[in-house]
Amino acid sequence: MVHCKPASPGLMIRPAMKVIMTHPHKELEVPGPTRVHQLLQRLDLTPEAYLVIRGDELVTEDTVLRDSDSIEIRSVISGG
Amino acid sequence: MRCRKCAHPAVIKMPRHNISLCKDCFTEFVHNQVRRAIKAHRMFTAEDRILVAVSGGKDSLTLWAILLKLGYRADALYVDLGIGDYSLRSRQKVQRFTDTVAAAYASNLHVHTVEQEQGAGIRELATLVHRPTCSTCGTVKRYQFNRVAIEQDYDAMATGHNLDDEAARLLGNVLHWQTDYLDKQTPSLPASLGGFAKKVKPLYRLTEREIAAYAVIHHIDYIVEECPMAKGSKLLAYKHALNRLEADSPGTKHTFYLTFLDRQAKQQETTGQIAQRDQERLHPCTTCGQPTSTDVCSYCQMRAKAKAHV
Ligand code: SF4
Ligand SMILES: [Zn+2]
Ligand SMILES: [Zn+2]
Repeated sequence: MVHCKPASPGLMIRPAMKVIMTHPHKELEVPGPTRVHQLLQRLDLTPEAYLVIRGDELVTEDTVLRDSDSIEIRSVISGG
Repeated sequence: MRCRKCAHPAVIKMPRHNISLCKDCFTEFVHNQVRRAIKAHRMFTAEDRILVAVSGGKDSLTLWAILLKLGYRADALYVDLGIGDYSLRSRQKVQRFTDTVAAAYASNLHVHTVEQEQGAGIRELATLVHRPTCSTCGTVKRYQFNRVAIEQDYDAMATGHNLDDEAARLLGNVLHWQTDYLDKQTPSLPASLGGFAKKVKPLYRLTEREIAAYAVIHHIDYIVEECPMAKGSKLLAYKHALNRLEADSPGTKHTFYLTFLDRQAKQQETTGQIAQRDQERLHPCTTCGQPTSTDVCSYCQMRAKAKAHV
């Protein structure tokens, strides 16, 4: 799991990027900047089973994601 | 990351082919894989009428979109299973795709609603006939697919099965040495009885990830959530296992399934054999006329059983 560091009193809360995981639905906040492949690694996800979408654009694994980005990690594996 | 072909920004990296491609080059790549599949297995021609089984998921909607784009005459069939919210939402996605994309090609959507015919959704029906939901669902979908194809005179029935589906199924069949199923695991199955349509899988050369990527790039709005009945399926376990292998050695799934097909092609008789064996074994159901190995097909048996309970 990825957690933001708890903000110490008196310090500004660091912004983080919003990551939505679809199916199963989960919402996370991950501090940027981070590359797509690092993000997947941190969440222990195999790249072959997911797509990473920024806004509505597909991004490759070397793309740097920033705090202001909203990210979707979409599972592409179906069981039917 | 740059596109290997034209140096525009890449949108996807495909380790199994050791390339990264931009939107346009990736689209071309996908179309070529589908063209190759259609040609290699003589699935259908530009004159043929094709019926695509759509569920609202990425594979079937993408298949429908690609066939239309490539100039094929493709209509679709959606079977509404009556599984609560999931069915509502998936039906909306299919309807939306039909209105916004398919309509421009004058392509039609057929809908079969299980509840309308059986008076109950697929889960209730399965309980009534004492069978697992997914096997009841399989019977109903196969039956309706056949029915619409014959009533409306389609030449081929196409499903969105992809490389992951086929590799996972192959793994399952090999693990249990289901040799009967192995023979039938081809992307192009001849009609089992005269008058029926053949069954084809034009996406078998593409992975789930590639198909989902195509859907995202082309704004195909599909249902990302899964049928709730798929939870814990064996197929999912095989897919995860294969993806773990794939991560370590890219191309594993491709080699596994495509080498199997090559070997099958070398034995050559396969499709002819299947057709012959089917024709010896199968005959028209005495109630409805669909191919069956018993007097009354499993769909008609199921209906009779369900009726007796009402
Ligand atoms: S998971 Fe089972 S019930 Fe759901 S669509 Fe697939 S076969 Fe039918
Ligand atoms: Zn390119
Ligand atoms: Zn019958």
